[in-house]
Amino acid sequence: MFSLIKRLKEKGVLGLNARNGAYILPHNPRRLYPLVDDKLRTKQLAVKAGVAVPELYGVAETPHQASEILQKLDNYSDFVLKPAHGSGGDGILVVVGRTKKGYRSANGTLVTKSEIAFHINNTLSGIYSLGGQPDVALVEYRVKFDPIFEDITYNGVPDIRIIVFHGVPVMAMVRLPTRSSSGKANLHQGAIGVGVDMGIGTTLKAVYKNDIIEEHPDTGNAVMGVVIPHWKKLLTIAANSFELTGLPYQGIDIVLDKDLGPLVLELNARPGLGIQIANRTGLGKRLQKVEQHKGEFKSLAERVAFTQEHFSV
Amino acid sequence: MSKRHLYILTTILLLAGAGLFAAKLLIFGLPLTPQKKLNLWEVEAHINFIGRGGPVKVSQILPQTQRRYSIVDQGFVSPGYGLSTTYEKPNKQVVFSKRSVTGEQNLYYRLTVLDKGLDKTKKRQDKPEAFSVDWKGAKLVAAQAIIDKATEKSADSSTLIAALIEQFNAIESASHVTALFGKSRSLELKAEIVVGILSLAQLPARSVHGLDLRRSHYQPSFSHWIEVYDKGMWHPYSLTTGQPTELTNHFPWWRGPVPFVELSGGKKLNTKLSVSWGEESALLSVKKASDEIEKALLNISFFSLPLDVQQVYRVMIVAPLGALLLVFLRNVIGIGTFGTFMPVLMAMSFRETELLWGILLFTIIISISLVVRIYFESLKLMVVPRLSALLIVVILVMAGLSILGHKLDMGGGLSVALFPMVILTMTVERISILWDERGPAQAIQHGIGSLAVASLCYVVMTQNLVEHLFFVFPELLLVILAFTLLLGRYTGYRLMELFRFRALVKE
Repeated sequence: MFSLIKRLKEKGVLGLNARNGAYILPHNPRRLYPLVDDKLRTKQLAVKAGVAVPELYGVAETPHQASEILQKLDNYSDFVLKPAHGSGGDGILVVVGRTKKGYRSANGTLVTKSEIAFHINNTLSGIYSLGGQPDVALVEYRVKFDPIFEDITYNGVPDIRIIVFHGVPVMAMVRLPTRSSSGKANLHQGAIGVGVDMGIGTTLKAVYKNDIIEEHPDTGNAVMGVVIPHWKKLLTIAANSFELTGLPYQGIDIVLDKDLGPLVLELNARPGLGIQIANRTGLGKRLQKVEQHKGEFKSLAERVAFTQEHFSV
Repeated sequence: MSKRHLYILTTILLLAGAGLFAAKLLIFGLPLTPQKKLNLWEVEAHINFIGRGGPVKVSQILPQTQRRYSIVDQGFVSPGYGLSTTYEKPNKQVVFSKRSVTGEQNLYYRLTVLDKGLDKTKKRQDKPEAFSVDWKGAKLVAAQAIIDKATEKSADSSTLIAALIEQFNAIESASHVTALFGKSRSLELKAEIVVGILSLAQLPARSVHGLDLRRSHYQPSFSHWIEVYDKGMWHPYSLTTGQPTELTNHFPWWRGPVPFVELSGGKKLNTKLSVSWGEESALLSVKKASDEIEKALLNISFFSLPLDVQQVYRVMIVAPLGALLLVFLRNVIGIGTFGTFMPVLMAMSFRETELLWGILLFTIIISISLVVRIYFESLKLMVVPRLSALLIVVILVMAGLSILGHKLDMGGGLSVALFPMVILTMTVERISILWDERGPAQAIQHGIGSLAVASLCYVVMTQNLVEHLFFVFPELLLVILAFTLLLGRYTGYRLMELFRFRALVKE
């Protein structure tokens, strides 16, 4: 056991206690948390800074507004419903199309209008929010993801999670939904995490339920060696998120839309540690390297260049 | 900087806690381990009567602190009654009064008596006022005959009393005795008659009514004896043997020919007594110590609080240790639990139910409520009404288990009432949400984790030694605080994470 601890330490693997005690608590000021915990505020912040995000169709803050939104939704055939204070992808309802009786959700089931109203009311009462406080529900554009991930995605939207420390992207992974994650892109819900070479943006081996894999378990296609388009732009958006919120340690979730390019989905002040397993590398060493050099950067471009130079495999 | 700050703080806390602990242990000699010294009694008098619809006045005699016995704590349960105390030498009385009373009434008086042991000091007691008996004619003649006969056989006051009692017990002098007594032969009456006869012989005496604490049965009755004033002190004498006696374990309640309870405005007066033996550990030695040092360090201790409040703190004081254990299990081992303090609170209620019963009842309540919660899911209820409905279900299940347990005569079932219902409700809600979103495996895993942590906390928190240590040395909480603060900066791996990240170093 002690040799295991020693080897993990050598690899710079970060545990939950180290992430919280050495990075989140000392670096991230609590007053900035609302900026990322509230997806509505994150979206407004991003729009103000000119960062592309999925278009907001409407916000429901009261049950009364919920029925207004339902009327408004008649104009759209597909959309995404999400809680502003949700965590871990919980409470997100993806509607992909309409039927005679109602809507069709991403996992193929039919949803009626009253079920959507119930979902909105549940969201408002705080069932999906951190700590259970009353919440607001967002309705937004449903991302049509880039065909590059078509072969290695099962029923859902793949996204790219990048950990950013002091404005320097340090590690990234592509999160691919699977049958067992029911379309969601979170690792603990059964999605695949694929490591990414930070230099040129090609995918590496992947982790699925704590196992290292090379093919998608549902489609059978290789997850390795995919070149992520717009990689430099992705890194730039990620690096810019530091200016957006001021949080030194954060995770950013970006999705690639086939028409609109990279869109920022959300930011996270407490990004998970599964990304280390996906990349088979510890975060610790990269974070230390950034800490040593963080005073030297003069521009955003320098930070992106630093990432591509130092964190390439 | 912040880390050094923390180390200085924890060092101060550790030194303060350990220093106070060492001082109390070494200088004041407080016991390190619990000692069983059985010298506390809980006494309860239950007065029952039926009100006639008008005003009611009940007076009951209160015991007083004596040379040997201290009244540590006392209290009344008399809903709706006004209370007043009066002092009619030599007894104190409490008067319960109420303007309009109908139907059955129950009044309770509870007290805790501490046996301080024999008081060796020879403190002079006041000479009592002389009192006379108003016996006339045949009664006076009979009494005089008894006392003459006894004086003949005796040399001093103590042999006189022995001779007197002997006559009462002997059958041949029955005619004299019957003349005084009538047919009744109660010990209470005997006491008064002996006291009367002694006053004729110019010996100040009084009857005493009290409890034989040794016989702590279900329903003891009062015992009676007499006290005779001689050489500046009152000396107790037994009414059955006539011998002077120390009357160990006889707790005097009141003196003189007055009834224990008087009732006006009601009928069917009934008085029940109960005595139970308190198992108080270490109390005596601490009390002694505080006598010596007087108002020093020890007076700021739990022992200065009333007994029932002490009982509360006995339970509460070990909770921090449970919390520290929880911090360790969560942040160092990495066991997932429902809610932050749910396991500690469960462990505290397991104290009442005992471990196996506790786990069984917990599992039953959670399982049944979870089934109902799954059904509620299909009703599409809003969160607040849903949680309230769930709370009602949890209470119904708890009540059902209590009634079932009582009917089947299983003690464990009853104690389920002490489970924290809100915590149970929130646990059911969390389990069902986790079940929905992360799958049954993780929900069950967290459930088992919570139960395991609760059981471990229970085992640690119910150790007699632990309870004793924290109750007698509450400054140990500073040590617990120091360790908790240190764990707050533990940034090493959690044991469970080693398994999670194992694949990272496998090549």
